[in-house]
Amino acid sequence: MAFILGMSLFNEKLVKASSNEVNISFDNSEGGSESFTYVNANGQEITLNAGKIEKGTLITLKAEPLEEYRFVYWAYTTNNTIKKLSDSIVVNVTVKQDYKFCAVYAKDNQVVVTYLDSTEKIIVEYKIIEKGTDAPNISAPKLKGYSHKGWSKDLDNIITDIEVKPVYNATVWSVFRDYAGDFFRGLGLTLAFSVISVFCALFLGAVLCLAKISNIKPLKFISTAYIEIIRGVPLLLQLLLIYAIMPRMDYGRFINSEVLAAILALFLNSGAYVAEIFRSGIQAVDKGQMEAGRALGLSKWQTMKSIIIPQAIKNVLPSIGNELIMVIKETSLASTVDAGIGELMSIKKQITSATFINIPPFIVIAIMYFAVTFSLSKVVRYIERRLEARD
Amino acid sequence: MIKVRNLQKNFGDLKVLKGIDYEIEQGQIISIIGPSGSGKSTFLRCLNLMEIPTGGSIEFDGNIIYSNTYHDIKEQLHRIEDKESVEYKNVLKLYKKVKKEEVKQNKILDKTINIHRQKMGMVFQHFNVFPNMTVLDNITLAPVKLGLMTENDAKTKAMDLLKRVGLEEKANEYPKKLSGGQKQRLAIVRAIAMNPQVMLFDEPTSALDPEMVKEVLEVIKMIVQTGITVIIVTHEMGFAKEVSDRVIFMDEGVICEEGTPQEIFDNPKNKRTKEFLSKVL
Repeated sequence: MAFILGMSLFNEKLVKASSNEVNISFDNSEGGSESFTYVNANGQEITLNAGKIEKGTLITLKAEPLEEYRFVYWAYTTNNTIKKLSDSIVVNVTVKQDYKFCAVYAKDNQVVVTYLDSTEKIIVEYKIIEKGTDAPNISAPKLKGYSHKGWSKDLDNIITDIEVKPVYNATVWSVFRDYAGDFFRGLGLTLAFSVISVFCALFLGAVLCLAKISNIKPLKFISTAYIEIIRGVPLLLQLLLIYAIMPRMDYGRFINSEVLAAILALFLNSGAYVAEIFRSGIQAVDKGQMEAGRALGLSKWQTMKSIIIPQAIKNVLPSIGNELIMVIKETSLASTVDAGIGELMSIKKQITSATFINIPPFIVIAIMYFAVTFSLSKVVRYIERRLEARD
Repeated sequence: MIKVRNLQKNFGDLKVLKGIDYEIEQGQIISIIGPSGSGKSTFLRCLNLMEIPTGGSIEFDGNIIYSNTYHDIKEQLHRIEDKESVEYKNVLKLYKKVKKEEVKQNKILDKTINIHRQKMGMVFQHFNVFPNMTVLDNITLAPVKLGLMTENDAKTKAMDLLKRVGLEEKANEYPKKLSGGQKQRLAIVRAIAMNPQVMLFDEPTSALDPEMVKEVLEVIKMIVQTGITVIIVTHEMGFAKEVSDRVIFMDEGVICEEGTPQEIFDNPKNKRTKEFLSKVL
């Protein structure tokens, strides 16, 4: 299945050559410089404001690294070497911020499409177009997991005015079919992150709950304060704050600052809710149970351990299931952290940014989220009924 | 065996026990009767410190398990009108000192109370059996956890007790499957399995359907015959009359009248006792 390659004009650097000269202009709306430096045929570095270049001049675009993320973009541009500009060809270098971009340029009278597929193999496709003809539509296979590495080195003549539009007539079904693998991978990660977060939250929740119901004032205060603050502040804020604080690291797809920040935020947040679930579960156990235990000579903790907590666990199982459902939905917030962490919502964003298809993938993931949460809530209700029947 | 001196209990401003003095001897069967709200359950619960009293003292088996002069001093403090007098200042000083000691004492109490409670079985109105474990585990839990018996000994003993109350077939059932009367019999066995010196019954038949009252009373009679000390708060007047050595009539936080069952039931002297008995008999 091929579709017309989409190119975003997110950050744009315009290099125009008409007759014997090239006009250069910058879009510095993203904070770039109004000038650039190029290397001429004698190897001299020349700094230009937006202006004219003689035909046949060899220039190398250079720019200063700005902020970290934008460095990728600039570095990318730095590698774009423009040589031997052809006659009257309007040149338009389009630079995308994210890596999944492919290069489109002219080589002789051909348009060359270069991109990296998911295995990082460079794929080159040619299409012959006449000089001066209208912009062609370029079709390319679906884009998957691109990287910007290396491809720009063999850039010769850059051709532009290539009209690039998404002409992919996507339906919910076609998007699902074409990206099923990505969607299910995203769903798997969503579930994995949720389960990990809730599992860790159980321990945090247990500790917070015990602290809250204990008679030790400082512990009680700390846990109450923690629970109230976490519950009173938006999760999105907590997530972005943790990501901002967290040191940058990248040890592969699953151990990097984005994933860790997302799991940490979900776990710390969920822990507060789980603590409240535990507390209400313990308080729901009849007071007489504690009295009976104490009357037998058991200590408070012994009674807790053998009598109260086993009954409380039964009380809280359905609520813990519901908490898992909540967290599954909340993982979608992680897609706002940088490029996301590969869970379902991030997958949707990636597909949209690569294809410009927006609404159909939304519907697809909505159905997937619903299918999972709905069936889970059915399971929870079933367990709830079973437990009720046993008591 | 149990000596109670000037026992007081307040819930906030509400005075539930207003100074109770009583002495219970080894092997006595004591029934406590009285209208609801008279403080009889609170009195019973204070005996094993299920409720911590606010004043007075309790001596059990030669040990003072609770003693508090703080309350008396507080009363004394309130009685002194001249807040500038030397007497007031002295009492205030004493009050502060005793109050500090009380906090310390309560901490010690927290540890020693478990030992005392092992010697005082308690049966509640609402049974309070543990629904998360089998009938047998309900009984063996405390003796095994507290290291009083090995698991096997506890099981043998539990089975023996269950047989005596007619519940041996239910040993491996969960309490959910028991009737109210069976649950209460289980609760009694659970307390008895600790070999207590005293058994406290807090309205053991009040939450039962009428047809189940008898089976529970039969079990209590059985316990009475073993010769241990029994204190029972009850509304079953006939039963109290039949089994008790002494009957206590309580009203409004004080013991109004105390005597043998014959004295109390056949020939009450106190006006309020008469009123109460004429209503319930």
